[in-house]
Amino acid sequence: MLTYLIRRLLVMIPIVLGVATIVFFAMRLAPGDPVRIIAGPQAPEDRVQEIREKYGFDKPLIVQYTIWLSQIVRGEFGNSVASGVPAIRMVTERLGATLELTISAFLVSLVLSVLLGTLAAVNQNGFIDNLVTFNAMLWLSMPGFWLGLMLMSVLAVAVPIFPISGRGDAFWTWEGIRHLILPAVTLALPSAGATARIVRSSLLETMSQDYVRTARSKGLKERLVVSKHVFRNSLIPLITLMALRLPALFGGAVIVESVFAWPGLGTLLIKAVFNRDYAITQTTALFIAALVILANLLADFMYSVADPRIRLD
Amino acid sequence: MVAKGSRAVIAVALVLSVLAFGTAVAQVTVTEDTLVTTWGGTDTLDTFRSALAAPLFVLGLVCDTLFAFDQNLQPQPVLVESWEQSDDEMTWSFALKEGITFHDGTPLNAAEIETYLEELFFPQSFTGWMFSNVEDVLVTGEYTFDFVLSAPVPLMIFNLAYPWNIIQPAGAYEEYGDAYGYDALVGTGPFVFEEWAAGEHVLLSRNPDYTHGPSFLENTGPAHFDQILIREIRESATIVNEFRVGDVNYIGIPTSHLDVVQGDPNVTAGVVTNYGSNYIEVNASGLFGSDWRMRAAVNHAFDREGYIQAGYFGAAQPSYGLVTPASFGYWPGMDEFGKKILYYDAEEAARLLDAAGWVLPAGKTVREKDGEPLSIKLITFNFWQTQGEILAAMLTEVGMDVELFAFEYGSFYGVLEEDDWDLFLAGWIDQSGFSTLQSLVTTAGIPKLTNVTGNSNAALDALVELMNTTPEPVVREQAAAAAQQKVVSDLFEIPTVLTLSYAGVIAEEVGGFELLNAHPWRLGLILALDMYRK
Amino acid sequence: MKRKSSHLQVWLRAFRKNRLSIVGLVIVLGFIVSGLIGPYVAPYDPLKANYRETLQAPSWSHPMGTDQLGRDIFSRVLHGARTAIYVGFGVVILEAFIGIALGLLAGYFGGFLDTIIMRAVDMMLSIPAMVLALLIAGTSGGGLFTIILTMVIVSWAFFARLMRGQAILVRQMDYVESARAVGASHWRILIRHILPNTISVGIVFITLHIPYMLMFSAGLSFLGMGVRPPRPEWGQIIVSGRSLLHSAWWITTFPGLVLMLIVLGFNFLGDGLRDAFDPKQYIKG
Repeated sequence: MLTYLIRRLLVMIPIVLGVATIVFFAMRLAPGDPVRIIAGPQAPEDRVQEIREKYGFDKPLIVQYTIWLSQIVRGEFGNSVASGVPAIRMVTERLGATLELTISAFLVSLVLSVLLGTLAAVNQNGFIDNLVTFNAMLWLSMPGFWLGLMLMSVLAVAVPIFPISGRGDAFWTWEGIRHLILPAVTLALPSAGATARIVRSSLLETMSQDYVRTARSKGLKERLVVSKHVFRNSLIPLITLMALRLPALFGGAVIVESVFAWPGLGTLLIKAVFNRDYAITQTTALFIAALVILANLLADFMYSVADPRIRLD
Repeated sequence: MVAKGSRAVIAVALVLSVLAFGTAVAQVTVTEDTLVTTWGGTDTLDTFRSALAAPLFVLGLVCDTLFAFDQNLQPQPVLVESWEQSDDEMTWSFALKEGITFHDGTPLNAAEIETYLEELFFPQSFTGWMFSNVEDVLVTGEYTFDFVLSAPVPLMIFNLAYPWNIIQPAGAYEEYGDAYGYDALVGTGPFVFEEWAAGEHVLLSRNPDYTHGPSFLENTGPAHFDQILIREIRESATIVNEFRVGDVNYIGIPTSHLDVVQGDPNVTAGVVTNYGSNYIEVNASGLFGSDWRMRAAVNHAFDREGYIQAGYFGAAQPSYGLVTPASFGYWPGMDEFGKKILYYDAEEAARLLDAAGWVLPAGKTVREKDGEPLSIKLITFNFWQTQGEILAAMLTEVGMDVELFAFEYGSFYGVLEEDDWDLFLAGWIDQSGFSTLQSLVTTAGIPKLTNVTGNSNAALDALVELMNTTPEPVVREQAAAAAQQKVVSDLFEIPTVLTLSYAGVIAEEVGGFELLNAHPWRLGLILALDMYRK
Repeated sequence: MKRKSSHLQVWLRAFRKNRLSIVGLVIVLGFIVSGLIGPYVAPYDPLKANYRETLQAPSWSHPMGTDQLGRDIFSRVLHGARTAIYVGFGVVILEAFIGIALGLLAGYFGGFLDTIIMRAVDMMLSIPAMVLALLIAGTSGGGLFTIILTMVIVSWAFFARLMRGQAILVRQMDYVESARAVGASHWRILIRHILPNTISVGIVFITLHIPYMLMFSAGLSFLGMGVRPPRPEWGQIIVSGRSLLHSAWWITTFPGLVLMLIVLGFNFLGDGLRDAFDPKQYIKG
């Protein structure tokens, strides 16, 4: 167990570096000059060239890469060309708000999807199943901005129960929660719809297998044992999906952030891509890579928790 | 096994919550005398790092320039008490107003100006080229200093009124280093920079010592508002909702919601004439560059009225010249002159194309010449997608096959360098017509990538040169007029529309809105000083 | 008396039982037909801007209204069906194929193959989609091929991850153990046992990905990639109505409803297919 864990964690390092390398070259090979973008079209070229040299953008790519590698090793992630401030700082400034939003959405989505998926599966092809299915389809195919703006119009403008936009206080205060609800729900519903469908399908799958067996067995006890088994097996795709969703905690909520003026990382990342801000995109990619690997590791671990027959090596 | 699993999950959850705990939340109390407005945010407020237009909103409230343009686009003194030019025009002498301090307590004096200009501004500013003829800044007294020139600069005062040429204390740059413009912004203006909560808001508070506003204002200081809160909101529907139902009481109205906001009885709204000049640029080395008739055809295929309705919801007006009426250097006869050339006539466009050899074969929609179809490439920025499509549709109507490429701003220079485009739907915002003309149409602008047409015309160069260097105002105006006429006649830049900006206030809460309208630039000053909470 | 039904009989039985899946089939067929004949039956030219008829509300002459350029939205939706098939349906099938294959292989064989594939998956999931899209578009120009390539590269990893999980679960099952004991080849086990028992979740995921891909391609156009306007593309039409929801609501709403209908159709069809593929159907008592 322990050796498996250590092996996985060690492998993490080259993968994270690999991802960062791909991002490094991807950003620099794409057309667009970060200095010129920030300086603007009316800035004189010689000044822009000075700044380029200051950041080392005029050097050959390989040289830039080796310099960057040596900086990463020392823990320096570079400064944003756009703001001059360390990229790490710009990311951590928005981390709290982002985590609040995405974790809340994650939890809401998880609870909703398990509840609804189970309801639907138990009631297969019945009225409730169809109702749940229909809603799930509605949520997941609706454009995110549409859902957000609708919720805002109804629950914040027409009937002012919630604030329209922005982040309130910290999430453990009432003010904070009030501001968090609409954006979190907007973010949660589409994925809740999708996941509910998967949960339903997975439950049906395992239920059908075990009903055949229980039909032959007698005795209530065995039925109970089997149901617990059913539930845990059907958890597998749920775990996978939830793990897949974790990386979206960084930079996955752009539309909701825009609609509700939520100061999150999604906006920062998208802007950084447009601005060709290498430091921010690289730093964020590093964070995401680490998180993805940890999330998948956690998921694999949870597989064996859900079904002890699954061995991890 | 199960217990261990759930313990792991709880541990992770705890770690994440601790992370979330650790970040501060920015809370602002909105007082009765606060102006609450919105903006789209920006990357930095440091003018040595960015020459984009977005920061100007905050810069105009927090920092001063030595001079400021009044309603007639004449520079009026702000930080300067008096000034004079030597007889040989090689020296400008300035006397600062006494008793002004920067927000960090540094006194504004000649020594401070000299340090700032020579060590920071001239070398690092993107507009430092305006002062390339200033050889030396000489301190002649506690509050007096001279500019010693290597060649006359007749537009010196105008250059000093340019909104990017703000005066900041050199010490602040030293203190904050790279974080200046993010953590701090220091000036002498009517508002003090308090904080910039990333992605959330910028907070400014009244500078009680500000009394040196320019004379054209109703109130020369201090400001009426005690705070200005600028919330970062990008979504137009959200901006409008917050304005109509929430705390926000002043906004620049998104054109998509113009009707709704103007129709709201609680709102006073109107045009604040912040003209953006838009035009079509023609690639001189392309299909349209060699034949004037082709350019004229594009010109006549363009329906300004239709474009304004479909592309701007009516929030624009036809443009007949490159320099906008709100810019210094505008020639008043431009509209009359321009209308004779720039008008919509699809039939004339067709005739011109026929004359140029591009004919419409029977049963086809695309013109051909020597068997080649008239396929052209139209490029524009991705935020002008709709406008580009409208232009493409208009050109299609006269028989062109248009490929529209709306690129993202970052790829701009790459696309230009590829040089395989024919027409570029572009725009420019500038206060100084001189600067506009110099950048956009002269040969000198070609290597700088500001003149993207690649068109080099000696006569035009000479006129622009004359405009910028002559000390005689009359000659300057004549040269400016001649240059603008030539631009419109040559049609390498085809003026399209002037975009209008609308602003609105909650009538009950904010007063002084009518004053905004009178002044095309430096809205910041009027907003800062003349407007007030009711 | 147990009798092994033929495949066709099983499928027909499943469909007849589940009426919704017939509805789903009809919808999907309608989608495909629109893609084929849409451009020929559309009442108006989807590209021609008519700026005297901009932003008109739905009416008899324009059942879905007109957009900012005066173009008939219904015609644009019809024309866009073809692109939606490539971008929505085609891309998803491609990425599902690659992802499912790799995922099942990784889950079933485990060991080194699993490690290689899953670490590649980790990498793919870590790179922000927009960055990857920039790279691909930057090096290969734009156009339909680029978007398809980009989207497949960005998304196969989701399928791989999902199906690997399923495969891990199923490979422990008794019938797999017994098949191996009998000496069945890996290939046979994969096709006969692993695939049918894991595919249901895969099918559901395929249907869920379709709207996601359509909206993603609209996002790509912001980076200067994607279907070049004015060529109609459902995601772009939906997004273009974003700031006009309060006035010209029909620009976003109608294509959005069409999208929702298609998703519903695929889902019902998918449910039907799942029932049809269920190996338990073959043993009727």
